[in-house]
Amino acid sequence: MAPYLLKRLGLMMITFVITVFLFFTFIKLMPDQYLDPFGDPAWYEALKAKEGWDLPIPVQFWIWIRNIFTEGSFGFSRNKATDVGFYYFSKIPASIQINVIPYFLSIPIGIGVGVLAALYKNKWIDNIISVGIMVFISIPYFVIIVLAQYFLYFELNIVPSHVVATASQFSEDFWWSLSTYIMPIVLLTIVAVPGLARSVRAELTEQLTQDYMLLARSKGLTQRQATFRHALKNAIVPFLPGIFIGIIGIINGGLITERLFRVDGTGRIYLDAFNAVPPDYAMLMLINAFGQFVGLLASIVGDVSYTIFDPRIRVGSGKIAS
Amino acid sequence: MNIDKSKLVLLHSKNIQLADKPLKTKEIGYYKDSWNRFKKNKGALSAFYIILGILFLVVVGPSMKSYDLSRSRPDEAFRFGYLEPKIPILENFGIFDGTRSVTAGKRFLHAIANSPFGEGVIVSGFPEELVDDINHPNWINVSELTVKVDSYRYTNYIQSYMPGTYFSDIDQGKDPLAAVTQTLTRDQFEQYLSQNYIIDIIEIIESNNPNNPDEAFIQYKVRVDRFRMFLGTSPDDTYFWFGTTRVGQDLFTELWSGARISLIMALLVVVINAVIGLTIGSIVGYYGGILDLLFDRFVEIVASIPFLSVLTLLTLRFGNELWVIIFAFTATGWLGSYGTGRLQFYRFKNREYVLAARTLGASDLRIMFKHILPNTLGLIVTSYALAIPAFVFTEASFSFLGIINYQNAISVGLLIDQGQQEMQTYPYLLLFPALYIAILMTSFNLFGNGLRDAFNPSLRGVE
Repeated sequence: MAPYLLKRLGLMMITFVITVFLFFTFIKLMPDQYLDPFGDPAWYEALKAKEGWDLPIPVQFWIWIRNIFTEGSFGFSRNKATDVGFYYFSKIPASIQINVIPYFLSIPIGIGVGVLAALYKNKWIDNIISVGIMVFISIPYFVIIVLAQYFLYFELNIVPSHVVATASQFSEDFWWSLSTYIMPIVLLTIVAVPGLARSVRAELTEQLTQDYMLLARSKGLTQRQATFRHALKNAIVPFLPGIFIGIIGIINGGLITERLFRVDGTGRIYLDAFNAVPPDYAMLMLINAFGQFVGLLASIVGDVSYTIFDPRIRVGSGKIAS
Repeated sequence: MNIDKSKLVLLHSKNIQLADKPLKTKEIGYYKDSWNRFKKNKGALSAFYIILGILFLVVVGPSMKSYDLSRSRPDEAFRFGYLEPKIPILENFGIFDGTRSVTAGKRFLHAIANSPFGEGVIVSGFPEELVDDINHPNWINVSELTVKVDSYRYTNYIQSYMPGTYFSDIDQGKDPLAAVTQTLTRDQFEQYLSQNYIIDIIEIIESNNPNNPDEAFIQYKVRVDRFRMFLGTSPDDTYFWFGTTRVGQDLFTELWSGARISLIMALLVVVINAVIGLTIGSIVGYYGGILDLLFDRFVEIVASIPFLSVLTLLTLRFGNELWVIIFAFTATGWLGSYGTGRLQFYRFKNREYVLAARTLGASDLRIMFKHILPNTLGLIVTSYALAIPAFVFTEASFSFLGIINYQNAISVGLLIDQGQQEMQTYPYLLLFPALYIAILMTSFNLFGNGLRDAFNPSLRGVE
């Protein structure tokens, strides 16, 4: 296990450095990279020297990495007038805040719905669930949320607000502000359920037809006992790594979610940096590198968790036939 | 090898009939069989018809209405912004009849109700007693009222006859009709008169003509009927089926133009991805070995780059041209077909028929494209039926976010974004694009799943 992990981590580092260097080069080659000096001239010169703007790009890249480790500085954001790392990481809690509850709610609900549909396959209950899953998977979730915002807030007026409360509103009226989180959480849970439910349904349907189920039944277990003690465990295993990966994904926020509910989180920073004129390249560099890091880490965690949950799979134990 | 023909013996006698009877039933080929299976899937079949309908509208929709004011004269099209959806026939049932709630000053509504030009503007909600007497005691404390108006007539009224700021301008001592009057020369006046544009003449200005003192220079200050002038119809005969946007674009035309662009791009992206991915995938899968190892590393690196990063960096560098977006989608998009192609070639390259072909001396290229590829095609092609909605989904999401923002083209995501900003007052701007994408995505997914089940019955139920 340990050698495998080390090998994966090593490969991940190589991939990470290559891709981040590509991002860095690409961003440094942007034509509107440095237009006019800003801020205090002496300070500007100091920043220029610190980040080595007149050096070759590979050297700049080296300086960028060195600054991260020596000073914890990811570059200076012209738009936010602060260090990008400090600004970005200070917004992560807001992103987690809106995503974490829907995420943990959607897992048991998704599994439950999937199990229900698989147990009553081709009965009316399964038909309703399948149609619902189909519709909710097909329609882009931002469309569902926008329509829900319109009908629930503007048309029926049964929710306090169509966006979440800001920090200043929280200090004014805590309970009202808290209540603005109800609709986003419910909506985000609803749009997250169908994907998991569909996979669980398909997987459990297949497990229910396996031979071991027949054996379990012939030994006298009821259908219910056999399903919950044997089939369900096997059916859920393929999704557990995904669930772990999702936890890591939470900190990355979601561009659409945050825009729809006007969350002051990381997704918003991305759009701000993208839409600024000139774009906030230091910020984009950090966000892309961080997203890359999170993505690679997630894939390793996913692979490793396979072995933990399914003893039949031994990653790194030799060649896997393709 | 020479065989002596005389040694060969015919084993069976000629009297016995060996011929099989020909089959009475018709032969059913693979595609016919798939189609039969597909037809049984009612959901997929109706989705197929819906897609055909959408495709029809995508082809003819943008040119169904000969309204190009928003392109030829955007400054004038502005006047026709926010017209509510109005559809013939349906308008008689109280839906899509072009009405809207408007909150306006009491004096202004009173003026509309009493003006000959304002006939039929207010549909309901304006109290009867206020029509006759603006100072009616029941309404003395009310200064603003919300009434239901015919948005077409209302727009024409405020654009041609009396601007919404009429009374506040009077109070401030400004010319209240400045926004609706137009000063015409004699020739223009006569031309307008013959075309029946003019509502009334406010003033005739005579000034000295320095060149010809006998004939004075005459100018006419008039109010013109904007609907007649720019649209050529009266408000009652004007139909914008899906309404108009803020700047006076016809939402119906815009929606189908956006749909057309996204579907054309979807096709292009899918084809490019398929060609690149399948070519590389088949070569790598077929030859394997060191090539496979190297490509695996390369693909691992490319696949690890998030699409969002690719898209943002490319659009920041090269702008928002269509080719940039297509390039961004294909830069990492070919990996999917690469994986499928590689896997299929791995699976089939050791089959007996490949061995047979090789024994007969077929070249590698011939084996790959004449023997293996046709065998894998069914599986590969059906997976692309689901790639189109996936593209539409992604494209709509990113244009909703503003990351994809075409310079001279509209996109459905952008329309939804604009609609979301104004959903409080003009919900139709949100509802039509949202409904379009909801219907399109659902039918495409149903159709794609049906197609996959029909072509690969063994995969049925596996999502």
